[in-house]
Amino acid sequence: MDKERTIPKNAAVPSEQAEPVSSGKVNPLHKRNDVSQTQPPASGRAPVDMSVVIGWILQGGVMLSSLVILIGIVLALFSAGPQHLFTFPHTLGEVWRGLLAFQPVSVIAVGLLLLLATPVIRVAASIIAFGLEHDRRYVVITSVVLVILVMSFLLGKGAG
Amino acid sequence: MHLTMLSLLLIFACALLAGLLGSLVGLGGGILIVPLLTLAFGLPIRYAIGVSIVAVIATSSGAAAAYVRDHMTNMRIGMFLEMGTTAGAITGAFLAGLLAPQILFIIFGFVLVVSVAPLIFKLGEELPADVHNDRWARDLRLASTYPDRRLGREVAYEVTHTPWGLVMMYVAGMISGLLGIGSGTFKVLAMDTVMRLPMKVSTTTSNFMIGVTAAASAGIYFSRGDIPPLVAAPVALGILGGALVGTRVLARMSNKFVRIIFIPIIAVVAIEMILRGFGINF
Repeated sequence: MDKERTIPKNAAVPSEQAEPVSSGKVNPLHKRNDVSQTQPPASGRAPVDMSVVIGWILQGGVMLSSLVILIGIVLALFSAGPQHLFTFPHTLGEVWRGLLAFQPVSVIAVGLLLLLATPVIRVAASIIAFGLEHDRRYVVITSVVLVILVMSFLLGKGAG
Repeated sequence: MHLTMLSLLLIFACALLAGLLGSLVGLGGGILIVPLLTLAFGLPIRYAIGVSIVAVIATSSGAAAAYVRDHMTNMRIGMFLEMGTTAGAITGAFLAGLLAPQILFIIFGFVLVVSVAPLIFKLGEELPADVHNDRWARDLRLASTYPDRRLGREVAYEVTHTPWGLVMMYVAGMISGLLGIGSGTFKVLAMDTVMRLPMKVSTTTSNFMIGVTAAASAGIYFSRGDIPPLVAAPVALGILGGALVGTRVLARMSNKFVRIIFIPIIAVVAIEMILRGFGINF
């Protein structure tokens, strides 16, 4: 492991925003890094301001889902008779059928699913953003996360 | 158990309070939902965990939106570590289905105690010095900068012990999936003390990751039928409302005052959860 090796030239200097190729002798270990740095330098951020898009997705998702949940609650309150707490749809098919039957619980379930989908959509959007940056490594990493998320829905069904 | 207007309203009010308190101490409030639903409303713990994980997604998504725009979040670090947290969350959600409810109560009590540690001890450093990128951090280009308002400049930072950070994130994800909490404390712990990120970056990046982590286990809880909509609805709306108010009030309340209220509450709740696990009820 080379994690302890110090690279004095490039050690956390606050002003290294643009990571200049430093003068004189180049540390051979660090050379490879300089090559990879031909892409956008401030790695946390993207040139296409994906943070704005992602912020919008998160906020929009939360707002939309709370609205749907609220509508569901209002419908539940006005529907006749006591409602069972623990009989509710929990597959996409059941939710859909319940929605067609105008069940308040299904409307709430749709709101909850929208809420659950918000982070998933955020991850999907990140794949596109990294793709636009031609950052293949992060496209792969983000795709792995997306596959895990989609798998979780399918796995839960198996557990019945 | 039937739904009455009153119980729905009560759950909403309590979730509002949880969201308010949670946002005031920076814990998100999700950690209070499971004790609330089990101890106060007598909901079976598997349903309480399912509802709580929904609340966690709601609060973290709302908060993350703001931090992302402020450029405090390191999205590369977040995305890389989410491979660990989501895999862990799935493990945790499955484990929760296998463990006896009593065991879940006991584990929850202990995790509750650990989660408030950052409110008592100061963990991590504001601006860690002498941190150098390890090979993973270089290859993955994890180092970055963030705007520090207090210092009034961009602060550059590097990242170390990346593989260990990923391993710890798997554990953090497992705790999140097992108990239906955001487990932000454990995520921050991994980024602060292991990878040695500046505090502001680790807290905002943790928040960014919590929603995705929670979504992984929420998928399992939903399709397993562990998220009763009529309970989840008032909880989600209440905690969102509470968090919204909390961020407004935050500036006007002293940190110390908030902690003095919060820490005893958590202590009592933790003891009650553990006692419940051993079959002692109040």
